[in-house]
Amino acid sequence: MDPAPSRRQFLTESASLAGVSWIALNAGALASLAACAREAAEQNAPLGALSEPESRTLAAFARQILPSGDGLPGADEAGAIHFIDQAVQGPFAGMRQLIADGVRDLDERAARANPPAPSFADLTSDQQVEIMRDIEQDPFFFNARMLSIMGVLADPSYGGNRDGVGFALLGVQHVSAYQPPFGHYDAEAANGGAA
Amino acid sequence: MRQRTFPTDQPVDFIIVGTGAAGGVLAKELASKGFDVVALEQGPWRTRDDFTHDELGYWFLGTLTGDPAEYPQTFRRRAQDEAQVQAFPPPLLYARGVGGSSVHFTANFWRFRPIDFNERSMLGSIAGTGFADWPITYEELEPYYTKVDWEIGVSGAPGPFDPPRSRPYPVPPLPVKSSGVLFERGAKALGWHPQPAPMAILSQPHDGRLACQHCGYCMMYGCEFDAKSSTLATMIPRAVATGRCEIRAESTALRVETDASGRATGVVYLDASGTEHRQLARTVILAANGAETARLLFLSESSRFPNGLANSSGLVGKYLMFNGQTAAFGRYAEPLNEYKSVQVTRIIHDFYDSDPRRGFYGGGGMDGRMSQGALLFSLFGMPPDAPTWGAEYKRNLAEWYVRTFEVAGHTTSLPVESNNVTLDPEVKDKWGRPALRCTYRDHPDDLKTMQFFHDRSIELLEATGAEQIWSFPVQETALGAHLLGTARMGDDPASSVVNRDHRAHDVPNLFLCDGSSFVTSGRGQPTMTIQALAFRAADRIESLAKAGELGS
Repeated sequence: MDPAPSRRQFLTESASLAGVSWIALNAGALASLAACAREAAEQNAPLGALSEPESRTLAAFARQILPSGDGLPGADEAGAIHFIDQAVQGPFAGMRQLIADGVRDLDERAARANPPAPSFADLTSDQQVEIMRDIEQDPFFFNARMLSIMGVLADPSYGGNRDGVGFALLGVQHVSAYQPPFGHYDAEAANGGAA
Repeated sequence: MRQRTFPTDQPVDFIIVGTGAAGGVLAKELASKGFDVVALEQGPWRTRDDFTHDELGYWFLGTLTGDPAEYPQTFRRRAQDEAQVQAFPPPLLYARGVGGSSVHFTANFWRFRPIDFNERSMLGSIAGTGFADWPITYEELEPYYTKVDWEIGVSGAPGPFDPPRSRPYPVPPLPVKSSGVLFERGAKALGWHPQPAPMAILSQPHDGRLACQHCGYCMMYGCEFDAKSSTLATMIPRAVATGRCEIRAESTALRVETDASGRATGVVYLDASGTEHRQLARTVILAANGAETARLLFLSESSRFPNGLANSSGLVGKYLMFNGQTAAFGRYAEPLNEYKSVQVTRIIHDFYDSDPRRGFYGGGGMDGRMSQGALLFSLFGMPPDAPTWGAEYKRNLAEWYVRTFEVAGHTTSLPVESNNVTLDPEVKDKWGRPALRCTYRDHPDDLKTMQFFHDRSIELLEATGAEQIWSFPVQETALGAHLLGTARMGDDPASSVVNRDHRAHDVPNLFLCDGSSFVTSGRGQPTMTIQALAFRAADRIESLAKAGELGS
């Protein structure tokens, strides 16, 4: 065990602090995630932005996690790929190699499924979904899904959630203070309804 | 904040390590009583303007809890296992900075009840545990709970099972949320007794501070309005205003020093640049939390104290108790908007006492809340049978995030000697100190208690008319934000670390006062008791000092 771990190494392991209840109940999954990220970090993943082919593949992946449509914003509208690009240079840098390997794997699977396809991004949506179902249990999928969702919902200062569309997706007002009533049931109770 | 400063080479009356729930109270109380105080804090001195609504930073990247690269911790289930680094979440979760974990806590603020102090006498011993009575009673602590109510600032109203109180709450309960309304509806349908949640968050202005603005960022965040009654917002400014207290932030304690007679002489610490200093003091108080206080005692070993300072009992670091937690969720037709306002507005204590008819030891409380912010809910909080990505996942998110609340259970942990905090033999932190190593495995009764509360939570949700109900299954606890029991209080030096005045049995001018002093775990909300103990300890320490019992 490295007695003087690098900042980069550990920040990347920070993949999953969650609500204390949640943490307490899911620490097993977190431990495997941390181990995976640590392994990635120890391989000295190069720092740097995603390459253009990588970002095309990852953007397609993120688009499947949170698609556009239904009148609701998704990964594209949020610019989730910009979050991912910054995350793998910054707080999740230790995931860089894991992401790079996973993208390569997606593209190789794409080439096998559809030989002329140079990229996962060039497959049809159905083909992409089929490949993603095959790797749902892989650490890459867990982490890339997490980064995709963070790219929609994390604070815009991290590069995604453009114009706060993630808050709009959830139906959150996202202002700095509120006054009661807060929701339907407390409003109902305040008006003498069922309590 | 402008403050008095003290030279390191002249002994101050008291040096306190830690400025959190206990340390902040002790600093303010002792300085107000006319003593000179230096308080060391390893983290920075933030103000309310520093706090933001950044869920990724506060929940995933350690904005307040610290960079896990700099402060690694290790975890294992049993002593024979090799401990592994558990970076995030760390097994021993606490905030670094002036105000300590009182800055980022949820602010649930339940008093203990008489039974919490004498349960061993009431129920008898429990095999395989260090289950014991406290050397103090609720009645002795009651004036200090009242002091906490008024000096710290607590919102609440009396409940049907409350212990006696000598004075009403200073401010009324916070406005009920939809979670509270539904929780109350379900509990009443079952014949239970919901009550407004006592919270260390102001419902009305008090002591010159603002009331809560309902921004919704309490748990794991710092309050940008100073409406949460952290010691950063309450005790620290008043300590400094006495002109007798210096808060030394970004100062990491390395060890307590002792002289040939076995008395503490001061604390060696590092400043932000890593330069070593030695602050001399007549009396040393450790209030660094149940993990850090134990580590500091181990690091203060010497030929006279070969097993660590104040550890002739061998119990330093042992009997760690986290409290158990459970979570069940209900989803409703209309929006609750639980992202607004404080986490909790209604609780029940119907199952507080241990009931021998259940066949196991344990008790606790339940509350209605939503612990999970947008990221947590989206990543991990959806029902287990729901899709986790794709168009349906997105539609569900858009519908469910604002329509869900959680019934959380908070339960007893038995004191088990093999649950502990020790020094990791290999891993070091950024200052070269051995990392905290946590060994923890719930007592079987603790898991049964959690299951009991899990099942009651489902019943409650069923009685609310939820459209869908799901839960996290009960599992062994893998981390704690409640760091209790690691330097337990008692009359017998062979079976405790500090006496009823928080004075180390082995070192006459060393006091330990924080969650480490707990003998039993209470029902899952320890902070108010930590603070009542600190107010009481300050009075006891003053009496000893004035009687000349602390020496020169």
